[in-house]
Amino acid sequence: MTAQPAAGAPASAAGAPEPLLAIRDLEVTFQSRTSKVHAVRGASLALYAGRSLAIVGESGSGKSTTAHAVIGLLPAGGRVTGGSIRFEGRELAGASEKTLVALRGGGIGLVPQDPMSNLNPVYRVGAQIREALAANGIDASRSTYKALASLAAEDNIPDTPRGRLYLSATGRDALLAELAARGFAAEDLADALIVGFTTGIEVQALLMGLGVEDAAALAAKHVTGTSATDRVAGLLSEAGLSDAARRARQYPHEFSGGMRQRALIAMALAARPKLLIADEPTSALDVTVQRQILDHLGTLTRELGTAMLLITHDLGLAAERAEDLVVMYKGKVVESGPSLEVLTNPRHPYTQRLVEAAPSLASRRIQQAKELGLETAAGAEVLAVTGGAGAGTGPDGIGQAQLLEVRDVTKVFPLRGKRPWQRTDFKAVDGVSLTVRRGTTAALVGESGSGKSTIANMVLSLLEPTSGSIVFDGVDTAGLSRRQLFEFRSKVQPVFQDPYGSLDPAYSIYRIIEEPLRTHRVGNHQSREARVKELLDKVALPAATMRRYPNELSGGQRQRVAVARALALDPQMVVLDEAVSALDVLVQAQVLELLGQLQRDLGLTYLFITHDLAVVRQMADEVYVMERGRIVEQGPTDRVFERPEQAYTKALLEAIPGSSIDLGRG
Amino acid sequence: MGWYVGRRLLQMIPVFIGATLLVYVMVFLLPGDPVKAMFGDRPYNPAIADRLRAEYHLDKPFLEQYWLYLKGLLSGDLGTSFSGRPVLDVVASAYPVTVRLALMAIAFEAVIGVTVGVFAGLRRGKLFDSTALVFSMLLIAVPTFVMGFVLQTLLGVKLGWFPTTVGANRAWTAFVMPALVLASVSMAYVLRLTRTSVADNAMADYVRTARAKGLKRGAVVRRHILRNSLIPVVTFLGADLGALMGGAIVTEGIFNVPGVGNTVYQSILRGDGPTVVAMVTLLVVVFIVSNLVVDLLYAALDPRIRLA
Repeated sequence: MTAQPAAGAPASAAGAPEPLLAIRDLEVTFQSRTSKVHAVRGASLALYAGRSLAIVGESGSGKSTTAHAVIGLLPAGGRVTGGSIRFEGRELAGASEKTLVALRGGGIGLVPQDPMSNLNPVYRVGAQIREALAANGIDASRSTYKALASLAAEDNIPDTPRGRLYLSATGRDALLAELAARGFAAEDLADALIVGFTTGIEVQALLMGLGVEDAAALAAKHVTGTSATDRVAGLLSEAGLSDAARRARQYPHEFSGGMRQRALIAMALAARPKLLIADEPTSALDVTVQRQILDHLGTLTRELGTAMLLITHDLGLAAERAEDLVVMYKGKVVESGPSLEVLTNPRHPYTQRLVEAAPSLASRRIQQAKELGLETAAGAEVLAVTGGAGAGTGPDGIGQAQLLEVRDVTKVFPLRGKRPWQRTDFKAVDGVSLTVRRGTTAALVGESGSGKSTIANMVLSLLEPTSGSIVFDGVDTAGLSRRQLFEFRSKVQPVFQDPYGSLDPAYSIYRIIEEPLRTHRVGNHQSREARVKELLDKVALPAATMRRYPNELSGGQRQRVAVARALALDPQMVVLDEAVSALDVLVQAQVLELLGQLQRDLGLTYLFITHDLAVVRQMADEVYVMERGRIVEQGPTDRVFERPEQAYTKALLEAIPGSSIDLGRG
Repeated sequence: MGWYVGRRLLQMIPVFIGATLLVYVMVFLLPGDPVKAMFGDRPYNPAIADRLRAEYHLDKPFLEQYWLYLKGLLSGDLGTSFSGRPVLDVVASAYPVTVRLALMAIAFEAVIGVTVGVFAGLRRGKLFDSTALVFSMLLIAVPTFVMGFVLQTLLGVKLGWFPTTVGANRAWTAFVMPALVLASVSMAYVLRLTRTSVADNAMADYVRTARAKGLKRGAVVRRHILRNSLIPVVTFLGADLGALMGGAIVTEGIFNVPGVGNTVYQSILRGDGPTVVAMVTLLVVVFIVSNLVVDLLYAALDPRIRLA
């Protein structure tokens, strides 16, 4: 299977075009003082000009390392120790820094993973994009329009001066003024004329469409090239940012995550590279934003003829966005081929497991199981693979009594106003009501900033509602005394998102799990130790784990410890705040399965808070969709997934990567 | 921003009153009778002593003394020192000396500390880095007076490059050695702070992005590593300027610098209340102002910080 894409050299011998990027037997080693880690062990792949290829794998599979090796930006200690990386026929492995500097930006662009940390906080966004132009010799401010234009225009636009020039801000104003003076409806054109982006020939076409007689002359008169500032605005517009000229003058911290990622895309494409490396470009973003950005990135690379190397952990996303797939596991390429083929007919056991576990695909699988009819053996089998607990299997006897009731709860945060004495109110949660029945799972879904975590904190009594009430097990939590609150805390336990941040690194696993028992004075030393062992067993960790420390455990193991700690006091309800969002797919599937099993065994009630609808499908009985502090849709999981009523819910569902893929009988 | 500065300046009023009161109390509680001390070897004359007490309001109860002092201050009268010189004169002769010394010390700290720190940070773990760390450790560990005497003997007496003491000499060269000694400890901190900051920033994601854009190594260091790394360093230097203005009794003593440290020390020995209170209060003001400047500078360097 690996032979197919790695066949770069034979292919060229046979007269086929040589790949833009050919990696053969690549080995990357990280050397520290004490140890040597082989991150990539003989990976091969080929990417042809204008095509797209996705590398899929879990964290530590070497997918990002491979990508960084291509652009010569391996983290400290990393070195290419074998194999070759050929870009446009040139060897990059062991190339000088000078060669690489010349190649970066103009030859190979990089869209990094985390939009929050990849923009320099002290410079304006526009300045950072202009830097990308200047570093590659595209200095629009010094009348080198030709170089810029020939790079930008490729062969799509006729070779006329106007085809290469961009509309400037002053040119646009003058053009609109002249059109208005001549009595044309210039407003209609205003949106289509984008500063630093619309070319002369496009202006001409637009004018002809408007019925202007001397369209060519008028376009020539007003489109005379841009300043660097206008071009930067044009690049930002191209990346899908509105009001680009103003945005360019802002600092990164004034941007949302999605806007930052657009700025980074504009930056990566500024010098029109032939190859774009997109390293998990959207994993830090909300699903709907994720979809927009990926759509835009796809359109843009297609239009510009840029080849794309997409790095992702999400198989569904990879299959949807790339023509070819390479699956990496422990530094090796285990499978490769056309995306759909790999997905529908995975051959390597690891790929098979990956396909089974991918939540986005798993929810598709449930869908299919339903279509097949749950009664049939085939359907049950398909469902069994996902480890789904809630969906499909209705409540059997339990689950009728309400355990938690949130009644018309509002939370207002006062924000500082413009003047020291002014305050503006921000409604994080606005009149939310929801109920969770005993022994069931309710999912609260929404994008970041929708107020779902605020609700979690109020349910946990960590925050006080501004108005409304939260009734747990028939008692209003607002009226609890200190003593009652202490008791309440043992009944409702949280598991948080970040398994790295929520466990004290200085505590042993034993102390972490034992702490709630000690705080609540449960049992003596011996009984507590027995209890910790029992809990570790419940979350499928060996008892020996208790002598270890959080930094010695993997993300999945840590999250199991967090679950064990939450279960220590025999709670009735567990609030899972993005509890599996930070985990790799296979680990995620395991933890979800564990949670489902614990629910069946212990009769636990879950409030599941997440932005990931795919996971909800596997877990929840009831879904509440939140948008800007309000619940916009609620209902049983199946109903919401099959017949969403609100446009927002539909958008969320469509944004699940892989939702458009039709699976075979995996 | 305007609000912020206004509020900070308003905060100075209670701090000012509190500081003067505190210093006043401490001077008042000093053991010994300053009037008796003024007679020195001469025989004690009760008549003159009473007149002096009246002149300096020493015969009045404490709160009244303090009130008269504040009243004087508000009308621009800092009072008269026990030696008969107006306090304003004393301040005016001591402060310029200390300002000059402090500015030179800051310059040394910034130039040497930052330069060495940047190179050490970019070459973390290499020979240059280790050497710089050992050097900075030495600067921190060796007591100021040892450093002072060593430099004085070596550069001043043996080599004769710089004057050994300052005294009435106002030439820049006279200040080089005391400034170096005064700067030494902070220089080591600046070096270490810069080094850590540069090394951290060099690994930042946005630095990788900058390189991915095709920027050359030099441009990456100048534009993306340096500016971000210097934010904490500049604020440290600003705060340190306030501390250095307080003068350094040891350094000023070794090199016989007639600055703030020396003057305050002598005044305390003499029980010279008016001088001590004036000098120390001025120090407090300098400190508050330099802290305000540091905060404003911080906001100017880092656009994420909004003062309100």
